Amino acid sequence: MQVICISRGSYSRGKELAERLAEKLGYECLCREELLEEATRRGIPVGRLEMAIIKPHHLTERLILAKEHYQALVTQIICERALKSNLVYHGRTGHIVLGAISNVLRIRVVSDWEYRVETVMKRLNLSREKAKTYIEQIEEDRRHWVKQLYNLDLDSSSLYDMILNVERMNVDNAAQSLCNIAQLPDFQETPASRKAIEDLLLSARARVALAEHERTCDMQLKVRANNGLVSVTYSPQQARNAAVIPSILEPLEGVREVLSTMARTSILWIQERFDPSSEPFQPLMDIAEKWDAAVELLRFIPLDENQYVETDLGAQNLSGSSLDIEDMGSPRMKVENGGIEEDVEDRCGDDSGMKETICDLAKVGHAGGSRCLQAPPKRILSGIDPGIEYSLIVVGDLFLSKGAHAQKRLCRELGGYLSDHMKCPVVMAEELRTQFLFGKKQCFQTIAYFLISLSMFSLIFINQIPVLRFFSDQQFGIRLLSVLALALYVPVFAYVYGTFSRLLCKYLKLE
Amino acid sequence: MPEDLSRFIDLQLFDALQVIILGFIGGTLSGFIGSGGAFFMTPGMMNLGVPGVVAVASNVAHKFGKAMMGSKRHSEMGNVDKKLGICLILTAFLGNFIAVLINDWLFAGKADSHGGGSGGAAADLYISVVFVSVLTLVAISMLRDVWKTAKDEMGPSRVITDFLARLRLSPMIYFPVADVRISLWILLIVGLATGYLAGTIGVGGFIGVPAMIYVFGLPTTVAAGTELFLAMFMGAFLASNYVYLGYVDLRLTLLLYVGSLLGINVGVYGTKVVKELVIRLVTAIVILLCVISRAVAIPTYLRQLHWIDFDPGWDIYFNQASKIMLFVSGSVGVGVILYNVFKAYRLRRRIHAELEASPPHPVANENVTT
Repeated sequence: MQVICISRGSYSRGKELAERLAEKLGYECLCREELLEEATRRGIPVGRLEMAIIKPHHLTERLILAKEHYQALVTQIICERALKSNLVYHGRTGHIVLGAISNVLRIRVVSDWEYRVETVMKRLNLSREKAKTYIEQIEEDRRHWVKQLYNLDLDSSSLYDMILNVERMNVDNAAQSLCNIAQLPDFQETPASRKAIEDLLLSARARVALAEHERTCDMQLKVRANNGLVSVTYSPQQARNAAVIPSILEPLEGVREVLSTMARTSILWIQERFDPSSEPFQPLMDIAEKWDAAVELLRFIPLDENQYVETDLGAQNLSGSSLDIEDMGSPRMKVENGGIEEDVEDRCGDDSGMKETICDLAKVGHAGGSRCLQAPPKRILSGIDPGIEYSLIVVGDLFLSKGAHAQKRLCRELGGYLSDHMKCPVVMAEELRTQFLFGKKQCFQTIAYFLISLSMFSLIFINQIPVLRFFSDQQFGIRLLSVLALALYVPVFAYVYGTFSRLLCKYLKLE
Repeated sequence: MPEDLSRFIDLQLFDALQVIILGFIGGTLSGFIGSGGAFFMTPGMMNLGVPGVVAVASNVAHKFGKAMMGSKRHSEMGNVDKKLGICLILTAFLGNFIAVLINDWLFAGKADSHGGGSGGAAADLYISVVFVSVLTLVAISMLRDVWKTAKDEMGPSRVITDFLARLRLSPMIYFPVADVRISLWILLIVGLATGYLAGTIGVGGFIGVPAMIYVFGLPTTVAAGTELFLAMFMGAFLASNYVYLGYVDLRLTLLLYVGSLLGINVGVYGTKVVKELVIRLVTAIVILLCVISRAVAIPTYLRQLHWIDFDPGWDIYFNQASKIMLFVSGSVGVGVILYNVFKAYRLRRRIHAELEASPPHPVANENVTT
């Protein structure tokens, strides 16, 4: 199984290149238009969805469901075709759909602007200005599409293994160069990459099955698959229909077990080793209970950047490397790509408590699936699904091979990095209790903030007349002073009383 | 209240409680629909006898601190396009300044030094007319949107955004967080309008947020976050202006905080358990009722200005009708929110009770092995 994804701009000869490449390699060629045709045949309102996504920013609930259905169907078709035979796909988002699969070759084709304008002028019989506007509009629409569907920037070079400018290269030579690159060991199938694509296919199949079933077609669900275990999360409002989920997924090929969890939101817990009896587990459970959240586990094994670079350059030298992961029984082939790793249970001799933790989470209805990633800290984002809006990311014990101080510093740095790149709060595991739960300390804080608010409030109301006189005095100096007083007093009161009311609502579990 | 403080009302316990309730309802609606809640609090205070300018000024001071906290939280979530906010600030300040000047001229310039006589009524009438005109448009647009969404399943119209994008009025500026390109001229106009309305009636967000969504094409969350960022600066600027002119009643500001900061938490919780379509519908209806409530008070101001003539004894009926309608609208909105919050809470308890009663094994109950 080899997959080459070509992301093409409009009129940039990407289609021509993809077809020539497929012909040279003897691979199957799949294009976006075929996916759209199949989606339309299955009843997804693709045209309306496309208009809604690239034009307004609001999607109705039904269109959100159509979007999820479409994404899953696209993933299913690409994965099925890729598992059947070698594949060249050309379209907008194939490289993103299969982005986590280590051996997928992701190419972006760009072309001379003048050539594109002239092509549009000829084909559509437009003036130069109109042709330019037309191309710009299409590019803008594509960017919106990718942003809305996958929350990624289509133009970001980090999404591609290679950006090919065909301005000075004819298509035949460009295809030949890609043939050579495709032969590199980095882009060959490995057991881990095959398993990753199988998991992706299974989750997509499960999502499509649920989207096409009359009892579950109206449910917004998150589906994950890992080695035959399919995890489905649904919101409390949809609990009534959730009972049928296992019966729909049971007959699907490859499903070994179905785990369905009620959740209104998701929490991501990142650790190197998991233990349900560890300190962060209970506060995390309390928060998940309060928020109706599914807790997803990400076992992150941080690699040194140098080691990573070495392995990246030569996978064949890995047997001689002294990476810690070797001791853990992880496959070496996956190390060089930093992608989503293999199933922990099967591949790692030691699953580091993940299975046990997931079991405990499932007992209380908060299991949100698990995955494992081995990569340098700066590549941790490759293990986090950008399509999921987490409410909280908890960074637990990581960098276990380092000393206590270095461990603490590196964890903080990783938390900071995640804060910069994720649109949700990131907290250290030890801060969970203080930041999100109501303990003795919070009780003391509530009383303190209440007393300060009361004092500030009383100060004004006991001295109503002098205060009003001060604020309505006509003297220039007093007026300036009153501006200063208000600028200080109001924000301080808002902060103090706001904190008190937030703590009070936290105590009442009204967050 | 002494003669020199006649522009401020004499606050009794019952009045204070009413202001706290106004704050709570306004805060709940604010947390629920993402606006400042001033559309409810400003007319509510006017119904209590607070002169319009003092009501706007005290509310603006209250909004300033609240926007600071809200903007900080939105910023943490990555919902604030600071570049866009800064671009809007300059003309928003100009709009603020114009609004304060007009309000001050109507209140103090046309009347005696304490805002008595026809000046207070002129300012109240001006504020009420702007309030009714602008919010009627907002409410009708929202109702149309809700109707279209329910019928066609499409989001808000992009007609204006697309039209302006086609115009390409140079210079165009790119805003990375919102991922949009906007003409500088459009920015200046929207900033000016937002600033003017924030200064006049204390409800800049009702123009700022829809403008960012419909005119700029911003995602809703970024529009709300950026508006709060803008509101923080506008609030500071406006509050400074109003306090300099002596219109801020700090007692009202603090009483509003007491209710609103509690209510806002309830409202935000409500958004998690109520469908978006219902949120928009409730918002539109509440705004419309607020508009009618304010419109009912207008004849009194017209009479005080001697533009129409009727028995002054009727003033109290107009005022009471306006007051009742406002409280009814707020109570209906808050009732819907609280009902849904309570319902969701009960549902959650029931589901968890069922889960706890099931056998404690991951593959039991909800999990099936095939």
